[in-house]
Parts: sequence; structure tokens; C-alpha cells
Amino acid sequence: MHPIPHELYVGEVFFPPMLLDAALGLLAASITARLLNRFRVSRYFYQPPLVLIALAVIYTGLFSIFLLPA
Amino acid sequence: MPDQRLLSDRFKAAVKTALAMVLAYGVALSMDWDHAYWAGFSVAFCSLSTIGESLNKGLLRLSGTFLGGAVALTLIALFPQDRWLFLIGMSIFTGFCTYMMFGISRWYFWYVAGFSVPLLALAGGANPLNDFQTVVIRGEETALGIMSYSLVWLLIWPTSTREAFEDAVRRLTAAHRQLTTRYLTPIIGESHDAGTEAVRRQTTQVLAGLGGLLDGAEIDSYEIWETRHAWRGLINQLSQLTSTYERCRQSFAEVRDLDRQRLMPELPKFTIELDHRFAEIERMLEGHPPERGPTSVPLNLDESGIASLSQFHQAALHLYRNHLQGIDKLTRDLFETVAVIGNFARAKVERTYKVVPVLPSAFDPERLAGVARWFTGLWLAWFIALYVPDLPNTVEFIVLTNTISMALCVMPQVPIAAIFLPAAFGLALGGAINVLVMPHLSSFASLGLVIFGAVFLICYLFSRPTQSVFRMVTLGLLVIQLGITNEQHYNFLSIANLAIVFPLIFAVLAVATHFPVSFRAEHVFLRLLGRFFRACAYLASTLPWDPANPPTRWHRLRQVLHLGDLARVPGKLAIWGSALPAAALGKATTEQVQALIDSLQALAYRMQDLIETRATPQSHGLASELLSQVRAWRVGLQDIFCDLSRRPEAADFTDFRSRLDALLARLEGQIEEAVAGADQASISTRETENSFRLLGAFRGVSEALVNFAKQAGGIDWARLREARF
Repeated sequence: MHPIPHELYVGEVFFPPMLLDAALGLLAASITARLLNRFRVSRYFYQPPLVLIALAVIYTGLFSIFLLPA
Repeated sequence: MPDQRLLSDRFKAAVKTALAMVLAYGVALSMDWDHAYWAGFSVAFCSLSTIGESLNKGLLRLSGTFLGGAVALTLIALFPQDRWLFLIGMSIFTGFCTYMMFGISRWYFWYVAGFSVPLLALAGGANPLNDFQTVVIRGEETALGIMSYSLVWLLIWPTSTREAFEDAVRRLTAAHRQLTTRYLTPIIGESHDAGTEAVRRQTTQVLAGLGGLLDGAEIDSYEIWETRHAWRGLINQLSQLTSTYERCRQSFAEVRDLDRQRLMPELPKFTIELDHRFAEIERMLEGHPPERGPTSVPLNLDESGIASLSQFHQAALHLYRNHLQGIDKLTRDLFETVAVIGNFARAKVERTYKVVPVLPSAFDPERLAGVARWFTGLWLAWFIALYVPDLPNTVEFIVLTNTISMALCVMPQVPIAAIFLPAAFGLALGGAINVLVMPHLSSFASLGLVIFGAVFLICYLFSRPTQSVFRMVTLGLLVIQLGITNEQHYNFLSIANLAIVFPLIFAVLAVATHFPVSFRAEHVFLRLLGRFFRACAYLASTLPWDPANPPTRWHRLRQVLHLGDLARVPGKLAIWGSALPAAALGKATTEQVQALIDSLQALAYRMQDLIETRATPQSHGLASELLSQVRAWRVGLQDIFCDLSRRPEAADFTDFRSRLDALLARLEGQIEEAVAGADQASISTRETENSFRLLGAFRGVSEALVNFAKQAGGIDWARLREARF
């Protein structure tokens, strides 16, 4: 973990890394959901919409630890 | 002005909206009013294809704004220091408005009143002294927007709603005339060709839009306003005629093989008479006096021919004739109403409104589910705004969540993802203009040009009627992102903040779409299907009720509620059926789903026939002779309905067909014996005829059920039920 918080910047605008992590997490969760739908695995989940939210949170957490830590 | 033929309607509408927007901004800025973009909202949300429709919507917006403003001020005055009581009071009012929006043509009034309360209460900021000023400015800006587009619509390429309305009525009458020829001319006979389907679909579509067009035409034409009660009566009659034609078409299946010309010798004459009536109605709608009035053609049955038919054919023929008599009465009424409208008759037209039973609509579970969806969205937004620290643009977040949630109650079948792209486009376009273009502008002329260009682009891109929601969303967000004021400030942060808040709004809406009631198309489809069959099962259980000895008030109330379900659910299923995603359809096609819904509509008509016929006086002799058989038939139907309400896929065509054929064969002989055994002197002809109609109605329901089973075989139920992301 990085002890000093840092930010991403595009031009003159600074963004928190968590924003990008969340966006990537949502994207990864959507792709996973599409694949699960495509191969009809989603029917084994009790409440798929809840699973989608859980996936987004898990991916965001993973990205914030391993890909773009704050 | 360029030649009108050179320019498409799409181009003209885009130019008019863009001009009205520039005009609204110009006046608001020159008067130095705050929140100039509110005038832009009026233009963005109220501009429709004709002047009357636009004015009607504008007036609804204005009156809704006044109601919302009054309620907002009252709530602020009552609960200035107690946010929870304020929020509860506001939720009760907005919830009431959301509830009132369903199933009426003037829903926009309630919509505006509902979303105005949080908007006006929060827009005033922390100082309550600003609130009165905010409400006044909102009213002024709304009126300014309406004035702007009215002026533009009146002066540039004016399109009258009266013409559109009268044209729609003429098209509907012509469609009914065509249906008469196709259904009743024995040479054509077969009623399932593609041409007839197209005419039927056109009839339903035109009829659905007539009420809204009349609302607009009343405003832009004094002649229509003067005769508005007669026009409303006409729409009501056209609606009843459409339904009666459909029932007649359904009952045609059982008499198709009969020699109807021999059994009803006056049938060809009757068909010609109906054609003449429609021709005269069309003539009157064109403004010419009628050449002849309706003449009476009794549809007597040939007694000797009837006697040679089987009992069930006799029953079907009685039912068929009953529908034809209904068409006869309705076309007469239609003729008289059109004559009064055209000033060709002096008869007084009473105020006639479509009689809609209040209770079934008030307790409609889908209506309550819609309110639950709105409530979840709004309160989730409140909690996020209150308890998530440093959330940017909380006012916009709450107001937009509430506004979109309410709008989704009117069109619940629209997927959230479908609104996301237009919203993102509006945000990006508005943000880009604000950041990159507006800082370089120095006069209103150049700003006006930019506004014109952006609004024109959006209106041109989203010009189709089906894209009206996308157009409004994009225009609304463009107006917010531009944030035009006299003392213009440029702040990238406010643009970026709104862009960040928007995904949050959609996340809240997505949660409300799934909890507490799912609004996924496949879930709603199955839910409605279950409700439809539960209604059928209950109504079948009411058949033993003695008309002379009515049951308790509670039972009658339940019957009314279920009859409401029967009438409404097939229409809702048609909307949701077209919204089913490909993944839910599986191996089935959209046409197969449509055929299934058509079979349910037929079943609904047959059930209504059965309930209505049951309420007529019956022959006691026949009833006592056939009591046990008819009871067994009714109980069998009830069991099937109960089963289908849980598992619609359980419908087995081969099983249903063989069971019905066996039942009909068994009953045929028993009815013959009952008729022969009954004391002919003691029973009236009318009652016997009613009893035959009842048997025909029973058979009609069973045949419709068999047809449903046939169509259900084409649906991929496993995929429809499958859980999906």
C-alpha cells in the first residue's frame, strides 16, 4: 500500500484513483454478467441483479488493491 | 420562406423548436430573470407536432407548476425546521401525484405538480425567504416558454391539431368500413388475412391517440371546443364499436362453416346497409349533408334452417347475431353523433364520457407497483444525499431522480439503459458547448446561434414520435449543462460534478427497477399472465351466482376488480411483450408472443361475453336439465384457469382439444333431450335463446382456451422464466 495518497490527472484536472477503479469495476462486472448470460450460467444465481452489484464491488476492490491503489 | 414541399416535417419541427428556445432565452435574459433555463425547459418538454397539442401540454405544465408551487410553499411554511416531517409531507403529495398519473390523458398535470415540489423547495436554497421568489420565477419562466413556442408554432409552418384529429377520425371510420366488408361479406369470409390484420392494428393505433388529439384540438379550434361533448361521445362510440367488431370476429370462428346467408337471409342486406351508413358518416365528416339516414334491417333467423343445425351451432349463431345487433346499434348512434357534430341534425347530444369503473383502476396492482418504484427511488436518493458526505450537486441529484422516477411510471417498459445514452449525449454536448464554445461568445446573437444549432441537431436526430422521450431527456440535460445566465460563470467542476452524479442517478433508478417490485419485462409479463388467469378463475367461480339473488358486497367488489383485470391486462401484455429482450424470448419469435397475446385478448372477450350472458334471464327448464353438466364444465374451466395462473406453460393443446371435443359430443345429445323434454309452453323464446347464447359463450371460452394452449406451445417458457442479469 502507498502511504501517501495520490491522484490521477488529465490535463489540469485531478481525479481520485477510486473513480477509475469504480468505472473499471462496473465495466468488468458488466462484461462478466454478459458472459454469464451468454453461457446461461446466470440461472444458477438466486438474484442476479444483486450478484451484479456484488461483482462490481468485488472488482472495484480488487482494482483498488492491485491495479490503481489510492 | 422556402417552398413547404421542399422541407420535411422533421426539418420544420427542428427549426421551430430551436427558434422557440432562442426566443425564450432571449426574453428571459433581457428581463434579467434568474434561472433562464426554466423557460428553455418549457420549450424542450412541451413542443409537440401541432399547435393545439403543444398548447394543451403547456397549459397542463403551467397549472401543474402552480399547484406544485402552492404545495411547496405550504410545506415549507408548515415544517420550516423539521426535515423529516417536511420529507414525509412532500412524499405524500408527490406519491399522490404519481398515483394519479396512471391511465388518463392529462397525466402531465400531475407529473409537473409532483416533480415541482422537491424542485421548488430545494431550488430556493437554505434561506426560506427565497422560496416565494423561486416559485414566482418558475411560474413566469414556464409561461414564457409556452408563449415562445406558441408564437413560433402559430407564425411559422402552422399545423392545426383540428386537421390531424379530423383526419384520424376519418381514417378510423374508413378502417371500420373495411372491417365490415372483410368480416361480413360471405365471399371473403376468412378474416385472418394479412390485410385485415393491418386494418385491425391501424384501428387500435388510431383509437389510442384520439383522446390526446381531441384535447389539443379543443384548444386550437373553437368549432371543436363547441362540439367537444359530441366528439368525446364519438370517441367512446368508436371505442365500443372496435371492441364489438373484435368480439364479432372472435365468434365468427364457430359459425364459419355454416351457410350464414341461408340462416340469416337479411345478412347481405345488413352488410350493404352498414356500408351505406359508413359511407354517409364519411360524407358528413367531409362536411357534406347525408343523402340518406340509417334504415332498419332485422336479422331474423330462418327457423327451418336453424332446426337442422346442431345445438352448439344454434348457440354460436345466436351469439354471433347478438354481436351483429350490437354493431347495428352502435353504427346508428355513430351516425347520429356525426350528424350533430356536422350540424346536420338538431338532436341534443348529452355529455357522454367513457364509463371507466373507478375501483378496478384505483386498486390496479401495477399502478401501486409503479408508485412503489418511485418511492424507492426518491427515498434512496434522500438517504444518499443526507448520509453520504461531500456528494456533489445534491439538489440536482434528488430532483432528477424524482423526475425520472415519475416519468418511468408512465412508460415503465422503457429500459433504464435506453435513457442512459441520450442523457450522456445531452451532458456531453452541453458540457462541450459550455466549456469550449461559450467562453468565446460576446453577444446574444452568437449565443442564440449556438443554442439554435444545438437544439436543431437534437430535434433533428430524435425526430420520430417513438424517440420523443430521448429528445426531451437530451434537450433537458443540454439546457442544464449550458447553465445560461446574464452573469455567466464558467466552472468545469460543475459540469464534471453533474456528469459524475448522473451515473449515481441511474444506479438508484436501477435499484428501484428491481426492488421491491421487479420491472424487468419478462417478470412483468409473467406476473400479468398470472393475474389474468387468476381473474378468469375467480370470474368462472361467480357463474353460479343467481342474478335475482346477488351475493355480498365484498364478492361483487372482487368481481368488478377482476373484470377490470380482464379488460386491461391483454393491452398491458401487448406493451410488455414487445419489450421482451431476445434472451428472454429464446427460441420463440416476437410474432409468436404477439399471437399468444392475441389469444389472451380473445379469451378476455369470450369471458366478458360469458359473464354478460350469464346475467340475462335463463330458461329454467333447460337450466335444471343441464345443471350437472354445465357445473362440471364450469368447474373444469376454473381448475384449468387456476393451474394456468401458476404455470401458463401447463396448457396442453392436444389435451384441451380432445377434452373439449369429448365434452361437446357428450353434451350435444343431452341438450337435444333437454330441449325435447322441456315443456315448450312454459318457457319463453327469449329465455331459451339466452340459454343457447350462454352455452355458446361457454364453448367460446373453451375454444379460446384451446387456442391459447396452441399459441403457448410456441413460447420458450424455460427461457422466459430463467434468472438473468
